[in-house]
Amino acid sequence: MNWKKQLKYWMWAFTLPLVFCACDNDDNPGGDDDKPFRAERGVYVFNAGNQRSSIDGSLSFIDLASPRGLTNNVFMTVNGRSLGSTVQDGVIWGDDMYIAVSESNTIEVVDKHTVASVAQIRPTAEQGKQPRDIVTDGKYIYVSMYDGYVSRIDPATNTIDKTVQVGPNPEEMAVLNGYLYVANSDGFNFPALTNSSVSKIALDDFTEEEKIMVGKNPCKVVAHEASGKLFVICMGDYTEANPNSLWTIDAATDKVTDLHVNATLMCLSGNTLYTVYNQYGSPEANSYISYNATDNSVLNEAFIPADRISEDFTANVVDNPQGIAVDPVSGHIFITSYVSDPNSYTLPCYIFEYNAQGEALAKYDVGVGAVNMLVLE
Amino acid sequence: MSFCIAVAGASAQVAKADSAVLDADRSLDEVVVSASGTTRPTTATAPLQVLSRPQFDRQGITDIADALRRFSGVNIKDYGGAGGMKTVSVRSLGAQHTAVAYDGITLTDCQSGQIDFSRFSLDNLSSLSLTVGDNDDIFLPARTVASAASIRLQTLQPDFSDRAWHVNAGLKAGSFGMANSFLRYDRQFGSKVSMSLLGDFMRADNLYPFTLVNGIYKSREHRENNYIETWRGEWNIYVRPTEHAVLNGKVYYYDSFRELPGPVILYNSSSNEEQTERNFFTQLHFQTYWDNHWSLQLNGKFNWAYSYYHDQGDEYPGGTLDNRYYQREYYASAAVLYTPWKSWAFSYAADYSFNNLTSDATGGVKPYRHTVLQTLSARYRTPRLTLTALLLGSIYQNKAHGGEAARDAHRLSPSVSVSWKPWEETGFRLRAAYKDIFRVATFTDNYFDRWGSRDVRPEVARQWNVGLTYELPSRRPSWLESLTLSADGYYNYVKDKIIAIPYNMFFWTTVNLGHVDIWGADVNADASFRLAKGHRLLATLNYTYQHAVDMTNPSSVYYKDQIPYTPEHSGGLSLAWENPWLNLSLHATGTSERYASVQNIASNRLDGYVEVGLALYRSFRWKGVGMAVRGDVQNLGNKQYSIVKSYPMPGRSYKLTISINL
Repeated sequence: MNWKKQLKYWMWAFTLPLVFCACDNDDNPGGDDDKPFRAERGVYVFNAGNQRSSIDGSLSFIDLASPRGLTNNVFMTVNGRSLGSTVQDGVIWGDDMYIAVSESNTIEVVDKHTVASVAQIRPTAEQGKQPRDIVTDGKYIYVSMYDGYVSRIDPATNTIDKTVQVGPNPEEMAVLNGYLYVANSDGFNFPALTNSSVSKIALDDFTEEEKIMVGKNPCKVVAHEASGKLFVICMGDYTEANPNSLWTIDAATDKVTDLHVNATLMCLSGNTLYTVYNQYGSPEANSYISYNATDNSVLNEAFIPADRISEDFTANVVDNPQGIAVDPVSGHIFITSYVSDPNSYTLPCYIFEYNAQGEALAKYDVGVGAVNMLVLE
Repeated sequence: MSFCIAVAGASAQVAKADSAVLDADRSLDEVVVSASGTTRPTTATAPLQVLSRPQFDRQGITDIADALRRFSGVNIKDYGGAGGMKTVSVRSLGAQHTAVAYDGITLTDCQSGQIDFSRFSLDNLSSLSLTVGDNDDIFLPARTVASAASIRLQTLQPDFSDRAWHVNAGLKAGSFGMANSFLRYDRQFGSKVSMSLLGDFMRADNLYPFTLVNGIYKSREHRENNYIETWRGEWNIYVRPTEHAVLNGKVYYYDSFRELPGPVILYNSSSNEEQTERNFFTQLHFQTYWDNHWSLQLNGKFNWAYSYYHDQGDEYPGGTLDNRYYQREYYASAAVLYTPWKSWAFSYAADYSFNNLTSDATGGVKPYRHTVLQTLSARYRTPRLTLTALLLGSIYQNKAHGGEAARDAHRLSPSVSVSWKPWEETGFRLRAAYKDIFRVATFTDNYFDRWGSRDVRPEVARQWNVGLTYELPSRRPSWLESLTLSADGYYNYVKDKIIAIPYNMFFWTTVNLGHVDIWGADVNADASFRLAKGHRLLATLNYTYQHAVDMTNPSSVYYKDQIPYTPEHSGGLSLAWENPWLNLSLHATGTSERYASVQNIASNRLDGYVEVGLALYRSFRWKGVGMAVRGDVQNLGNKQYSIVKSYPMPGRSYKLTISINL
């Protein structure tokens, strides 16, 4: 990476007439109690923190109701304690939000409006460890455990009532037509990655029906109900032989297809699949391609246009995208990013908010390691 | 004949090194004429600090890391407890810029480039010293001066003035399941050969309690998975082939098993990590001098080190993660000292070493390295003025089996220093020193999977020092036995700092990017007061100021922020009252706040702390047997603090040591 270019980019980027939201970097545990936190409509941001540097994870909230604004450290402010180490993702069920916290090995259940803690679920050794991804079918909450399990949480009791073994190092999951699909990355078996697969789990009896073979290192999966199809991002092994690629699984036939296109992040909104490709993290090389989820055709070669490309530096796009979410109401696109810095993994991330045309509208300075977002409608 | 004594004095430096500084009366025999002409902290041209054996008791020093904390300019990274790794950075340059010599020959770790001090025992040391830059002690192997600072550990040499054998045995017991036994046997065979054999076993559960602060909540927890046991054995042979020659040999073995508790992670205290380390080395030191102004020393070493990391959990293929690392080193050094005239000394040293590493973390590549270091140095010394100049030429040649080798490195590194006594009558001296030095990339930096880069250049460190020392002249009041003071100010910078930067979570690369500016000051004071007959008060003080800031990128959010784990203020003091009944030492060390990460914000801040300790000690004879008893209370105030974030240090703890001498 060329740091002079990066510097130039930043000096330029900061003069952009963006709406820079005031950020509230409240480091005081307990926080100010003049206005209790309440979320109605907005985006929850899951900040992993950085375990290696002992930086705890946190929760941020971008308020999309007026007045718009950003609140960082929401969980700490509301509950007076830390959310834990390596916050991964969250899902909403009823009035609650379930948050998977990997290194702390907890699932925090909070009120989706106030973030007041309702329960903290601590899996036993038999229920797996290191919660990674969390989804729901409307009935139960499912958590993938990085040591090779998926556990089911009964929201009536907020306890894990069933656990099923899946492939090694499960990452993201998706629910489609009564099945739970789990991407088994086999990430700890790098570079062999011989046990990469997608587990298909029948939700009625919570058993694994089969392991569907896809490309190496599947990490992300989303389900498109209208076409009965799953999109799976296989990260590959970073060699020519097994490149990063986007795959599909036809839920009816379990037939897999390698689409031979690159993607490292994705997000489905209606019939549009938004993908970001950021394998090696330089802004110039990233691509932002959207697809028609029904027929896999390209909708837009650059849904986030690199506004200006001159002397090899680009603007409008973020430095190092880590997560993408789309607000179904406004069509606005949110992309989290690390800053451009050798120590970026220990520094606060930021989020760009784009309109449907891909024009940057606002920047939010969130917590360290912002990896996932969840739109609260 | 006076130059001859000076030569012998100089040539004794390696064999006895710094023990000569304060143990002037413990000379081995006529060959080793100590004192006169050797380097002392107050006359050294570059900062030199020494702790010798009597001071271990007087300052209540419990282990090597604790001893190093009593030096100014030192930052210790201590992961807590008897088993916690302890590394040392001098003047904010980073642990990899500190050389550590064990009986004159440097220890190396080509994998990480840093030495863990928790593996050495204080029990068989006669002294340890810290040299910043190069001082007027010029008759040294080239590798000793190839770092920005050097810490030298000198083991006890037996004294057979009363009889031809000795046995020293001891037992230590302390809080958190710590037990340590040691045994030493010294034997003299005729007038020319003697040996010592020593062994040491230590174990500790280390499940110490600590207070966990989580937002507004506090809870009492204890460390888990923190057991350690170590075995250590050493055999030394001391030979005097002629009146003018010394030959010392050593065989050393260390074996440790420890559980690694890892950082404290909220809501999750489970940890299964383990580490086994084994180290074998054997070294030989030969030194002689001739009446025609020449001295020679030869050193050789073979080193083998094994490290095994183990973790278990279903996330790993097969349920375990195992990493093994093997390192080997062959080392040879020759140095000559030429003293043609009374005030002049010249030295040339040439070192060769071969290092290799076998590991499952390097993707099948087996790296090795040839290193040739040469020094040419000169010293001019009169009672009031000392000048030294040194030029180090380094050649690092990297090779690898089964893959591409890292780039080679070669450099010339100059160093100069001066000490001047402006007035004959008073004990003041002024000193100044400059040293230009570097460190090469470690094998981790170069070769580790998804991390290393073959193209890393050396990391450069430049040091400037000016200082003032004071030593009480021989005419002094009867109540004041000794007084020494030193104050140094310095400016250093590190450029082309070797750092790892992420491409993504999975792939990192190692580059030369960082730049750190360091302004600092070190102060040391040492005084001994005679209170009454048989009553003495000994006081020491050390203080360090460090302003070490990141100057890499003016647009980064941490530009000009203090670098991680570097307090602005740190220091320590100790007071010992020696009396005919039971000696008492009270000591304190502390630092101001630090930051655990590059950005100086509240969430990265670690609070400052002061840790107070107490030692009670006494030596006596009982039925003809020499005995020593010592009791320690560490962290008297039960202060909860961390040196490394999320690695809490133990609270109040106790230790009792009993030893006998036959």
